[in-house]
Amino acid sequence: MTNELAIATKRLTKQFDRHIAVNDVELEVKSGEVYGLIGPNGAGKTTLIRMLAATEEPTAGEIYLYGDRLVRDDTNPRLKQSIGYLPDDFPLYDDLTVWDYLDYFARLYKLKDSRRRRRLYDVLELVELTTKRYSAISTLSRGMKQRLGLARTIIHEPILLLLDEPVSGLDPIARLQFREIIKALQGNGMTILISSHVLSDLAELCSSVGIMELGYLVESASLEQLYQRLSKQQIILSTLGDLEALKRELKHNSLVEEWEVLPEGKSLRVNFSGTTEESAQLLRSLVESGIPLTQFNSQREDLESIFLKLGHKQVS
Amino acid sequence: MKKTENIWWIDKLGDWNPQLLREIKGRLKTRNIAIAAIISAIGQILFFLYYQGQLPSLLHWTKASSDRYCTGFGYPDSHQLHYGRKCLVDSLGQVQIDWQLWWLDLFVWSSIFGIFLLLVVGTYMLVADLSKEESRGTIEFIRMSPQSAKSILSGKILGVPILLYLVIALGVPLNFASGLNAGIPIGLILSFYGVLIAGCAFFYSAALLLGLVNFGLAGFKPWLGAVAVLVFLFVMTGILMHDSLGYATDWLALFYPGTGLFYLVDAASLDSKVGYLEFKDLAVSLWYGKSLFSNSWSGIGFILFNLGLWTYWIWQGLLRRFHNPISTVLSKQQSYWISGSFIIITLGFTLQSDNRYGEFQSLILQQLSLLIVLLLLTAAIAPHRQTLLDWARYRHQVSPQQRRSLLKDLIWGEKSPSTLALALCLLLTTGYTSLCLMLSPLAKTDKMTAFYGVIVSATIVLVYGAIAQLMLFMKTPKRAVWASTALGALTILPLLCLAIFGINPNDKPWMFLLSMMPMLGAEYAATQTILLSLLGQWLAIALVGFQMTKQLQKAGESETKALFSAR
Repeated sequence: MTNELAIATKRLTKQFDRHIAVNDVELEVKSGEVYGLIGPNGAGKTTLIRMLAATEEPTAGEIYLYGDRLVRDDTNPRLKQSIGYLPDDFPLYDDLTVWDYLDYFARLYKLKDSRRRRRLYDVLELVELTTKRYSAISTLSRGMKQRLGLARTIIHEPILLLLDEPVSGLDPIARLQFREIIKALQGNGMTILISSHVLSDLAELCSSVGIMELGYLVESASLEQLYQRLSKQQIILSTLGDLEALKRELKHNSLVEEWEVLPEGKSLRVNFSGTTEESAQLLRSLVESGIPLTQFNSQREDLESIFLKLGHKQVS
Repeated sequence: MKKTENIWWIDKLGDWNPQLLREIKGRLKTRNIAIAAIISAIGQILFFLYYQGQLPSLLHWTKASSDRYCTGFGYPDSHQLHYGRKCLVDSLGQVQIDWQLWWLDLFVWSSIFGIFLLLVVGTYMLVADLSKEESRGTIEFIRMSPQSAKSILSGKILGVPILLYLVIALGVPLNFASGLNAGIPIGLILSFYGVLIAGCAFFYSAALLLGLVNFGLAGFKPWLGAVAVLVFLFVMTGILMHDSLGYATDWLALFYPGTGLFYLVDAASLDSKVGYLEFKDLAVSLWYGKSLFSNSWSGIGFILFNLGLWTYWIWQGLLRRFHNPISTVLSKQQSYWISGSFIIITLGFTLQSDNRYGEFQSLILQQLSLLIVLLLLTAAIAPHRQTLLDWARYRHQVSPQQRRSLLKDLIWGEKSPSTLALALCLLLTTGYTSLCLMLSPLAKTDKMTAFYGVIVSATIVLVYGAIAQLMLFMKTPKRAVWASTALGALTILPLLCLAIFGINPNDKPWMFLLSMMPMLGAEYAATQTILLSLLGQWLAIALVGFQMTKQLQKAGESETKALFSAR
């Protein structure tokens, strides 16, 4: 069973003095997934990721990566080869050029000769830094440094990526670029665990999410399940005619739970509990009853609303 | 533009040791190389010109004048040739000069200058580099790579001081040529370089360890390391230049690469004309009665063995610490081996004659160095506060295969408190010292006095060690600084007070029994006084031990309570 799991933790606990940063966490991430970790600041996300990257020793509990036990010493070079970790502060060396920096890490991971050169060019192209390869790192912008950090993380072709707040402090364009790179990596079959506060980004990238609070993993499910369970279907309706007539028609449908008039006065946001077929049925009935509809837009509540609705706001 | 990746030897070097290549790429830039070359050239020119200026010149020559580099008889006392000899003039009217002596001076002092430069500056560079990597967090990425700690750290040693190596390498031709002109055989010059390299390996490894150990004074560490090395080199140069060998401290001379120079000066066959590093001073040093230093190969071999042994132990700490920065520097098992190696080597230099006064002085110095080494060892095996807390709380959760009795855990365990292990180290050193005392040529009553002194010394170390472990368990983040300050106060203050009030060991021996040098008091104290002070010290150990146990128990309990309340 563990073989298809990229990450499995057993009762993973980390304590700093009296403060329990990660408490009895049983995390399971399937191979090939993009797993999003969300939670308020101080919930234990960074500590959990650091333990998975073997840069922090667990107080108790065990970590298995692809079925192998992760231990913090130099006895597991193969496991180390499979992990790529990008912390939120991505420290770099200012005295090196972009090329020399990546070349150094490629050599640390034992990439040889032509394969190394090819990989360097591929990675530089992926993170769009090819033109900057002979520039000193100290001259790069924050976004470029972030991308260089990511390039360092993937230089050795890891199969598991651990990204801690990778888009914090980036402008919208840099964030978009970063998202595109992650999608490309996912396409290559990497398992990615990513923590972020930008929930719209996670909703776009992830296949599963986990919610952390007070050091506990309080929720861990596929995005699909989460939506099914917690997200309500909403329909935006706009009419050219009388809004009251539309409301009257809606009252006849038992699957319509409640509605809210949108600011412009000609549209309603309706909470609808039916299936896709039932929403088609509703549309047909509205058209047949002569309502001059200009918009019938079915959508789901987004990840942010679900997260806020769950009320996980406590830090540990 | 900078397609360095195409040069084959760089490629090969990088494959062999990526860390070394990284250091070279970051440092060997044209501007830096030029600066290093200019510094080396100017330094050598100034050095050479200074010695040129020391030569006697015809300008100031009178019939009565004398000089170190003249060739006549000694003046005024013919035995003190090195103070100056009468200057003679040849048929062409030139002052005759003892060029061999001049070259020897140039060789010896440029070598000593090189030792200072290499060790002090190199130590600073390595500690500063590693502290920076540690504080910025870049070292995490290196730790995560599949490279071995050995490859990374040797890359650091070879690469970080690369500009310093360049400065030194440019100075080697002058040094080597002056050595040859002084009549020193090539083999000996090369063996001195060998000793210097071994010395660098030892001090640089120690520097890396200092860089990897966190004790709350990150910015201060490089200075601490460099100043410590500087003071050591100054003291050792002073001791060796002024024939102060023949004590337990001779062990320290084995760490000073300049000790090798004795043989080189001797090989130049200039005898009493030289006036420093005289071979007869080194030859008085005995090790278990053997005159190891009287032969150049056995002497240099012993120096290399000692440097190699301690470099090996430092590397054990480095390898442990590199991959797990919160582990103790040494395991308990290693601490037993280290105290064993230490006592065997240092005791060899003590108890070498039946001269009571000399023997006691030697033993006092040996016990003092034992105290320092054991306190350092306590710091190296004392677990982190968090580790102790986890040990107290989660020891019961360890799987049945790994579980062992509390006693075994305290003797061998990685995470258990260190006091019992320190007691075992002391048992080892005291046992061996007592055995050597029995076999020593001292009189029976002197043996008993020395034996009591050794026992009191051991207990006092245990008191200090237990206090250190207790303080390292404090909650404040600066506990390492507090513990060192407290120990510093405990060790130095009592002796300082005794010195200020002018109290002598023969007046109030019991006061000395409670200081860091109880041997001073043991010489004059009555047996009852010694036993009474031992009783007091054991009481103190029991008290500190009881306090520690209580705190550990409380740490284990209170967390469970905290967990329940959190749920």
